[in-house]
Amino acid sequence: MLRFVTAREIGSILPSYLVKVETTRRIFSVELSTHFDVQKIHDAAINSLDIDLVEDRYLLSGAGNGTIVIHDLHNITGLPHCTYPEVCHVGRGNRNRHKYSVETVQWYPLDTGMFVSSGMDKLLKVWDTNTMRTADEFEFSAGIYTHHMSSTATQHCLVAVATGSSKVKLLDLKSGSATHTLRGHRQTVFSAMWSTRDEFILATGSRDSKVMLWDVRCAKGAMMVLDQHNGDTSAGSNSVNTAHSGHVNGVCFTPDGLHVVTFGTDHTLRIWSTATGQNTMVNFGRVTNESKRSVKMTISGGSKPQLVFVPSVSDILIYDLVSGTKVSTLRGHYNQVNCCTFHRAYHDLYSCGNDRNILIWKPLLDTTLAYDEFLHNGSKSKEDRTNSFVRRIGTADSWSSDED
Amino acid sequence: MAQKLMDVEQCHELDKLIEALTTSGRPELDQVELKRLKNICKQSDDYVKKCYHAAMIQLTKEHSEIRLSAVQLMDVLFNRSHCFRELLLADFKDFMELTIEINADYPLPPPKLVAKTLKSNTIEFVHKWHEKFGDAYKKLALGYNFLKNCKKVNFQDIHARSIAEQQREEERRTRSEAQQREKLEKTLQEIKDMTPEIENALIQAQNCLVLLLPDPDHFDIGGNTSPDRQHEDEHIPNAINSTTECTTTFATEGQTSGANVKCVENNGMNQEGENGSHPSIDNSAHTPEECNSSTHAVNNVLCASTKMGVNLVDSNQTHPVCEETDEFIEPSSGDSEEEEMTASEEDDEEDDGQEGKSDNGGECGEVDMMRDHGICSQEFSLTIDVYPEHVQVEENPDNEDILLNLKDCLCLIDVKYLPAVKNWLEIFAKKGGEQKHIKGVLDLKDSLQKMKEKISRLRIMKSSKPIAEKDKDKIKGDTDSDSGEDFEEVKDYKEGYEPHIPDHLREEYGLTEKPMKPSTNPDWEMPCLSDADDQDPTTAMSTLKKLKRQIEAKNMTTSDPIPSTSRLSNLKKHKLKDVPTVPFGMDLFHWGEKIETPLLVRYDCEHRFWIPNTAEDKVDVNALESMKSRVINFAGRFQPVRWSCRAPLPNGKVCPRMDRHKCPFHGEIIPRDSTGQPTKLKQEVAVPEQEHTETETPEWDDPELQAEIKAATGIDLSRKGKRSKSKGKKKCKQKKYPGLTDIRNELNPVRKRLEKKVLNQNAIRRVADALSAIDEKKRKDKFGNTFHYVHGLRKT
Repeated sequence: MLRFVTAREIGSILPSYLVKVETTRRIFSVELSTHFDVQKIHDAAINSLDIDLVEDRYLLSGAGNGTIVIHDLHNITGLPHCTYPEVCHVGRGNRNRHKYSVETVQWYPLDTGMFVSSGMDKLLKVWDTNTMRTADEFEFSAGIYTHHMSSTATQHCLVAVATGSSKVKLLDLKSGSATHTLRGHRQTVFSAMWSTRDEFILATGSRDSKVMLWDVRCAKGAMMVLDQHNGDTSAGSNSVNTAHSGHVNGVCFTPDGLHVVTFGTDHTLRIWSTATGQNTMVNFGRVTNESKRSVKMTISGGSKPQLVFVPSVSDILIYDLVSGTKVSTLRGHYNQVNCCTFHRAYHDLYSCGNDRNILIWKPLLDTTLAYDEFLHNGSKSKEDRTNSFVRRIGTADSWSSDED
Repeated sequence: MAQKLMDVEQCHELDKLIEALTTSGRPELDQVELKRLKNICKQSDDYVKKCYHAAMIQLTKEHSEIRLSAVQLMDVLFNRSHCFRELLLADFKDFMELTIEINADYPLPPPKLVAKTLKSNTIEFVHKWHEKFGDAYKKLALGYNFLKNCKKVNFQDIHARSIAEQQREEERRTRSEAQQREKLEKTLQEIKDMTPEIENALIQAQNCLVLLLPDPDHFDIGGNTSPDRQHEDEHIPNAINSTTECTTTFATEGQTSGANVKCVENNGMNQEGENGSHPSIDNSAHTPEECNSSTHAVNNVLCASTKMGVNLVDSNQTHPVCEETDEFIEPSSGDSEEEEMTASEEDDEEDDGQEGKSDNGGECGEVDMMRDHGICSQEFSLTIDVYPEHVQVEENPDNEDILLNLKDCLCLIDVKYLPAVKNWLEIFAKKGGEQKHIKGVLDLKDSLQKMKEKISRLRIMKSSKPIAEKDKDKIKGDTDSDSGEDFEEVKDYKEGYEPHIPDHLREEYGLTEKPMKPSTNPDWEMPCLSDADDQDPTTAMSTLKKLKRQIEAKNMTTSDPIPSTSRLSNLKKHKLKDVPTVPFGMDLFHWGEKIETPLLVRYDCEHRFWIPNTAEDKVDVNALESMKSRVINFAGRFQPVRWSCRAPLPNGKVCPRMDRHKCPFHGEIIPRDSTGQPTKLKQEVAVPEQEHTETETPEWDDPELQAEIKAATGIDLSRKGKRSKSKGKKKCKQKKYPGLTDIRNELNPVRKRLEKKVLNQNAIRRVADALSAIDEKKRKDKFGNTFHYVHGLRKT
């Protein structure tokens, strides 16, 4: 790292190159953080996480019993250990809370004063963060698996809503009405995501194993339907125009918007080119997917190669998007993992699952080293010393000497 | 170097040790082997890693005993090695799936009991690990919290775990509590309802007792009862005259007289201090004549009043004494055991007219005379022995109702109230009733028991038969008895015989002499003991008769037809009782007879030309045999099974089955201790048997003989080959790990094996055949002779 810093200083490399290198190094070393934690509020399975894009500070989480919690991820103390406190939450006593499970929560991309949540009670709610009350409510004919707002949109304020019905609806938050209905899927739509490059492009994945790309300006229909065989019809007529051989319950654009990654219950991960709609034929191997709801993958930005974090049963798998090789497996959950989200600034990964935990995965390098250093000389408080004692005792080997 | 490179030999040893440790099947690890393993692991983390992987592999085996041992091994290493902890925590979810059954898709393998221990043991381990290392290892803390929050494992109460179980237990407890409360309330209600009833019964019984046996406390000693007494005095003559005395009357009179024992000697004019206390005595001035006339009265009284023995001792007087003995003893008071009183003078009759001395009025007259002259009669002493433990009350028509009532009360107390009260107390003791309730019930029980005792101490004497019969008749109703008595019974005499011939007709009958009858002066005549006397139970005659009857009865029983021989025969007779007897049968019918062999009956042949050979009559030998013999099936004496199987059961009890030789579930019955463990090792039991079989070779198994036979016939009869073959087979079947429980057996439990046999098609068919055969036989027995029916059935 120091070498790169020097190189940047003398001008032999671009500053962005240093950033990329360092980011890559950090992301590759991500591990379960032992010293950082979020305050435990949830007492049900957690289905969705989102970090706001304005300050990269607030973590929004929605749980299976209808509660929504906001945590502050800002470590004010500067110490290498912290429990992120809860800021506010929609508890079970809240009148406006979701009756059933909350499936998706998302911050309004431009302001943390508003967020949108949707759940199995067929309602999509727009919340005012300051009062923790709903500003608006939309009812649909079926449970909502996911919704998404474009983070890059400047000309529209549409929410794509994927429900149990086959139609994808677009809500205009400005007018408060459903502006579009996108017909094309035959069955439940599990996932929907706006392109990170073009604000009018939407990708949806459905139970009928199709992934469609829509241009919402075009009323005719889907812009393209992704085909796993790239138009090769020899595989059989019923696999024509299908992206997977099973349900598609995860769709995710790369941060540059050039590719879209889809995840299916046929235990495969595919990456497509958004420009041509071609399957790039990267082989990720078998990626177990037993989820019956939308799975929220995330893709790290700023690293090279780009990495995708895929929740697979109780693990989180990290794959190289270019080569398809598995970088590592993050193990720490004891039950199905539902969602993971990447923190751009800290290079942290946040994951949640049915075991009611929100786990923080941090780059291993700095935290442990910093913590040890901190324990050795930095801390003066009694508590920390006892902590260091506990830690040293805890991790030491204890073979008794009399066993000869 | 040794730290870096693993020694191949040690690796092998490690593998072997782990396999041996985990497949031992024992609930605890072998300490020696474990020590060896620890020594190897101590050398390097590489060994620990190897050990971890080997243990993980063992953990995936489908046998709970292996898993249990593996977990125990892991616990040992987890507590020691940081490396091991890291490794295990990396796969902690898999570990929990394999041991704590957190994933319902992967249940723990059999045997069930061990799986249960495995689960609880592992939870215990995790709990301990968390306490020790939870701060240092985040994943361990996460796993612990996961178990605690999501799987609802109660680490404090590991053994009653799952939520459903806890809920069920809670429900059961609340239900039983509610039941108890309900029962308690019900009991209280019952007590409330029944208490007045019981009290009523007690009062009733008490009153009956008071009526029968007045309490001395109730005696009125003062003279203020004179009106009463006078009223009673009016009754007295009747009482005296009537032969059937009413006890109660006496008793009440005794009450008024107010003393336990009185020996009376009142001269009328001088009332001594003693007499002063019984002023009542004077009031009942009975004339001696009255006394005389009541010959039986005394006896009657003696019986009727509750006094056992009256011992009259005349001190110096030869002439009869008019004694008065009216006493009353309260059953529980034992103070008046024996009282002796001497009276200076005797002349006055007791108020109740209970004085004897009947037969010689002359003497009475003498006494009178002496009184007339103001002379005190000779002193006499009267001793009365009272045995209070025998309190007798004679039943007679007057007190019959009271006695009946008393009996009813006793019956009620005995059958209904006391058990009920005891039941209540039991319920209170079990369910914890309130103190005051318990106290109330205890009081009730106390009084009931006292009453019962009181009544049971009272001995009720049945009045002698004639009276009783008469009474019965009276009770039954006049109509019956009248109609019965209207018809005089005419005895069946021989024709012409007249039992009684009047005097004036004697000559007509040719009877000259009259049977001698002593003519006596009625004055001097002794009171004759007429027939009427033995009707009266109070007379000596009746007693004598009774005695005679008793003695006769005794003689009758002892002097049964005894053979005139000596006591030897007696002995024989005694023995004869034990001799078994057989019912009469055909063999006895033909006993000692020479029986002709019966001939087979031949039917007349109605065939035209084919005639059976009648010349030689066939003899039925079997029939002869059956006539002479008797078939007795001896099935052996039944000996009840007094032992049970007592093999340990999974629920901690022992098998209660009582089989003679072999329990269908646990095999041969062997001696076991209280916990169900066999007292003798199986091998010890089995070995001598084997030796026995091996040492004992049959005679024909002589090798030389065998050789000869083989040479002669070419057949090898020796058993050696066969034996060796069977042994080889056994070896093949021997298990790889003898310590482990055979799971295949578990998968094929006793029930299934039995089912296979019992519900086998062939077996079912056999049973069905047998049943239908029985039915067929029954049908034949019933309708076999009915030609029509049989053929009708057959057609169908």
